[in-house]
Amino acid sequence: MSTCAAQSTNKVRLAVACCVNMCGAVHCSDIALVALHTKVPPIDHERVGKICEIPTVISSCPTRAISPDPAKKSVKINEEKCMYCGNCFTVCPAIDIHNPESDGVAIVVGGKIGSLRSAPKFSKLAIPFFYNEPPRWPKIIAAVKNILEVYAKNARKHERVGEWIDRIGWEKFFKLTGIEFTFQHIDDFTFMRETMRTTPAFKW
Amino acid sequence: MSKKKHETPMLDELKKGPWPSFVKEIEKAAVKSETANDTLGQVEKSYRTRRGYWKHGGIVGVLGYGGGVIGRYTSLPEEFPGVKFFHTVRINQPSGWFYTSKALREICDIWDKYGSGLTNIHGSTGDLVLLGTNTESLEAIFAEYSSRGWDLGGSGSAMRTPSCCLGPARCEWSNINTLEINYQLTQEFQDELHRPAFPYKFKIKTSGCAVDCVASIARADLSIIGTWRGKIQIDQSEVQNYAKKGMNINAEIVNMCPTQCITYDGKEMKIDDAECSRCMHCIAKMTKALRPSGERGATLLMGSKAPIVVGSLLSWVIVPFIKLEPPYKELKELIRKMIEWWDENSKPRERIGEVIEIKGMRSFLEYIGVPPSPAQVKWPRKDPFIFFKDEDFEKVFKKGKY
Repeated sequence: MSTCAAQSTNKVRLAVACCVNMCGAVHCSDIALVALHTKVPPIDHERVGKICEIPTVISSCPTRAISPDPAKKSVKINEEKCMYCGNCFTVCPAIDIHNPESDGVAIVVGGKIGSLRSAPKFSKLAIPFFYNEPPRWPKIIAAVKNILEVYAKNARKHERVGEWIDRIGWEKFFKLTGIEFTFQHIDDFTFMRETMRTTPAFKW
Repeated sequence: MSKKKHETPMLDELKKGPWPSFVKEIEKAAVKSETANDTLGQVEKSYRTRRGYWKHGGIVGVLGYGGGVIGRYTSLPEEFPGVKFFHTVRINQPSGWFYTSKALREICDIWDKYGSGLTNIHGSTGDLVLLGTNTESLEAIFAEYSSRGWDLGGSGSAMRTPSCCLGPARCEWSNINTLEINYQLTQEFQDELHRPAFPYKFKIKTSGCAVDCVASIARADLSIIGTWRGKIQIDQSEVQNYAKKGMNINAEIVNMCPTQCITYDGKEMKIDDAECSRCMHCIAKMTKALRPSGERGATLLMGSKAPIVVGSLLSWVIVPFIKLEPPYKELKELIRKMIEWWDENSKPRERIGEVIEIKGMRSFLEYIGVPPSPAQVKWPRKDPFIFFKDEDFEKVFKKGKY
């Protein structure tokens, strides 16, 4: 969905994905919502043996957190390695990752697809977690509106959200939007290197 | 006429307001369809309990085809028998999504007869997507659609239905005939499309220019993006018209050019074409004044995907420039070589971009016969950990070039 934020800026693509498979192109949208899990999934050991192919379950895990549990004829999960992607659940319904109390939504911003002016960009984490509040998700809507308004007020003409943030710097983005910066914002998956600031030149 | 089976106070909330509502549409379908009726009930339950109840997988399909139908089921068949089966049918869309209204009516009439009557028209894959039918109806559905010239699209570990922007049919920016290329590739890879035999999915998307309206660079294993080699032609009187209409050409065009190759003194615009990286910003903003000229073709990029499993990728440049003219022999042969290399080097469920990352660009480029080029990288290797092959000394370094 494209919507005109203000005559003075550029289009804003809003995308929503109900899981990290991201059928909506959340990973490259201006402002996007992605639903995620936040807890290690419980294993129904009795069902694993009956309905799941154990080698497939083990190899489905991108962080190699899953290993065999021969005593139970099942698998076990290394809780420190699991980042709740749910890929194991995709191949094995007995590892049911759904959890209404702890599943929620993250907001990512600044992605783009076209090569106009600057190279295509991935969206990056703005707000790590909202509780799931159907049917209207008021807190998420307010947060999106805030980001949209701050962008519309501060961006230069033709600048997409990601281009605006690249120009002003992410430290300024968090300041202008009033969004709290948390441990979740620092990449501690496999992509940390390229995300760390390697200069003392940044804005107060 | 079936009555609304389920109370849906939470979904009713989403019928309020000025926007189109998916709830209203599902309710309309529910008048005729038990499947749509129970869909409403299940979605309401999901809103209430804050969890999903859909399951997918299993092998469903039609005789002779290995894909095109995605098995989908409720995990609560006793509570919602109408969605015990809720399979998705993918219909191969025409290039650029051009339909007559008659064709759409025909598609929908057949779907009303056998399915839930629900469609979200086009999903992220590009196919025309029909939502919700049962296993028994599949052969009849396929027979009716194929008798009218439609075919199923791709699914699973196969060539996925190629998809393209509407290109020269409606857009002056297109550098290639995206529609024809897309059609030719769809025909060429029919076997790969309908009979899944790949390590994982393989998507091809074609855009006419770097604006990339089909998002090929973000979600296609092979992104074909039209471009040109030549000058940007400038109509100076149109440049003046943009200025007269209030465009601040220095602020909006000159200063926003990523390579700073444009100058404008208030009277005349000049472009240093040798410095231009063809990003499309100036052309998109001043379409009447600026137009590419010269040789047309495409840049081939590869590897993009969504985050599952080890992080998202954007496609990167493999072939900086390729001419694309019928019968597209070079392109078709190149794609076959790419797939062959992938098939030989991949473990199950690895996309080609991930395999290139694991095995290295050299292995891939040598196999497909493409030379290394600075256009393929953002910057060269920064570490001194360099692989050498014996032949490199004979072929390159002993020749005294360095």
